[in-house]
Amino acid sequence: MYYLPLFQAKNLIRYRANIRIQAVLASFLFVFSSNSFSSELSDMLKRISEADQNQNYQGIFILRKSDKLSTLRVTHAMDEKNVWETLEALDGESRKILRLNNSVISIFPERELVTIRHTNEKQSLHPQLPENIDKLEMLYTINRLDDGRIANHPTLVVNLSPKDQFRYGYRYWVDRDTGMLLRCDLVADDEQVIEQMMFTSLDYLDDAPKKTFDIQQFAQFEQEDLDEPELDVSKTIQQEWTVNKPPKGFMLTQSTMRYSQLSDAQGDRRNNPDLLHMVYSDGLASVSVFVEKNKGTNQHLQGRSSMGAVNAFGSAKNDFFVTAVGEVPIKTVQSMAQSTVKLR
Amino acid sequence: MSKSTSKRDERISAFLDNEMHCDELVSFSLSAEASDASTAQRYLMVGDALRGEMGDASFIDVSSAVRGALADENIAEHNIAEHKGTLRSEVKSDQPGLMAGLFGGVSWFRPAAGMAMAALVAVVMVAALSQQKTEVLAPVADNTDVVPATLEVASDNKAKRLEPRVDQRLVSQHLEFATQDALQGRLPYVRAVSYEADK
Repeated sequence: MYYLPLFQAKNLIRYRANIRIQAVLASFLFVFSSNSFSSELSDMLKRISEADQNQNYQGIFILRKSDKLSTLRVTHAMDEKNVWETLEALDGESRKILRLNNSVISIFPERELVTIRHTNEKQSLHPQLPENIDKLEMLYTINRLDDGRIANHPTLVVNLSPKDQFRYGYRYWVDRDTGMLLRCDLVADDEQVIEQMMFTSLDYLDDAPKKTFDIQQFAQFEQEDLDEPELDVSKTIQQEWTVNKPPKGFMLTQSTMRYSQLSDAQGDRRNNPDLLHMVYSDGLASVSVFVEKNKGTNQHLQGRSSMGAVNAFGSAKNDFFVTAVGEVPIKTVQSMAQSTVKLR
Repeated sequence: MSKSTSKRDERISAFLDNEMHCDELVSFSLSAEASDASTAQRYLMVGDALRGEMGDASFIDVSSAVRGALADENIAEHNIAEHKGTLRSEVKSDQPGLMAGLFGGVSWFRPAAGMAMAALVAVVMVAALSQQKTEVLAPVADNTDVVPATLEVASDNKAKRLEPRVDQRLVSQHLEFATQDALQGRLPYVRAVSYEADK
């Protein structure tokens, strides 16, 4: 019986994957047999994050924002050296987005334009777990809905319903076998889905697919560099502004100085960063609060603006202007912009 | 309905439908009458009723607005005449300007022009109100200091609210940096690249 070890060696990766899947399933079973969700939910979300990182796959998904629908083809792969992913728009203006480790290259063939952005190491291809994830149960009612099926994959369905009107609800469809997030809905308080990502086809691959893109063929296109100078985002700046009364559960997670104009950031004579960017998060939703010099009435958003699930509210504070932006209801960004105060 | 009235009504209709040639606009504005406002309001109400879009703005009494505008105009004219009458007549007689040259400096011109302008303002007001009520106004929380940035009038004369736009750079920075602190699967990344492409 020599073939068994050989067979096992050949399928070692698959075996490990199965172990991982069993662990995912075990955690799910534990999650939904327990009355307390906090740590188990954290584990589930962690599994979602890991599943996306550890899989090679190809698929097509839709992205719906309000009444706008986009279809994208995704190829995701990881090998010994790199993690890469391509997104290709299948409707509207043709565009292809390549993400190779921390570089994001967007190609717009019709415009003969290539944009390049490099992100820092913290911003990996895969989202990081928020620090205050264990407090989600205080802010959302979490329950399991009937199992579903997305892109022919059986799924567990988890509903996170907000306990107040300062955040949207979330509905996750998680691949029962791999833990991958196959569908995510953002739900308003009237149960209307305001944003949705959903796979319509998905194939897991045993091996990383071959790279089918060749950036060189777009070398003659206009290239736009979207990079900004390195900013130490881990260093907390001396806090001069704060949101006096953030909605329950929103904690300050980032405070960074940025540039209000890209030209200021890229020019030969770099000015000092002039835009304070504070990020408040409840673990699922996040709100950016920007503070900059007031440039005049027509230079800023006065009041509210909506772009699908993203809402914004601008409010003048004497010589400064505060703009709050986030995937939260309008009342949340309004409340946060209006309660932003200068400490000294 | 007389032939001239019918023709006048057609011109008002053309004005409301944004089908009036720019050359015609000048003569139309100079010949605007107070009754034009009520005609315009009537047309808009009929149009709204047919489309099932009757709103509060349909019932605003434009006629009274016109009367008010004319009254204001007369009062202003009267006051100007009282305080500056002598000076004005001297200026006119000594240095006939372009307007005086065009209209021969006759004394009836200013009140007539005032009435015409007030009537035109009323017509425009009716048109603006009819456009405004077609906008879908989302509920606004209390104490909102909302100032819409601009209004865009579409080519088909249906005005729609151009959503006040937040600085795209702020949205980009939010999508790129802030959502890393939240866990929504690949949604934040896709949202960010999608926004970048849509800009």
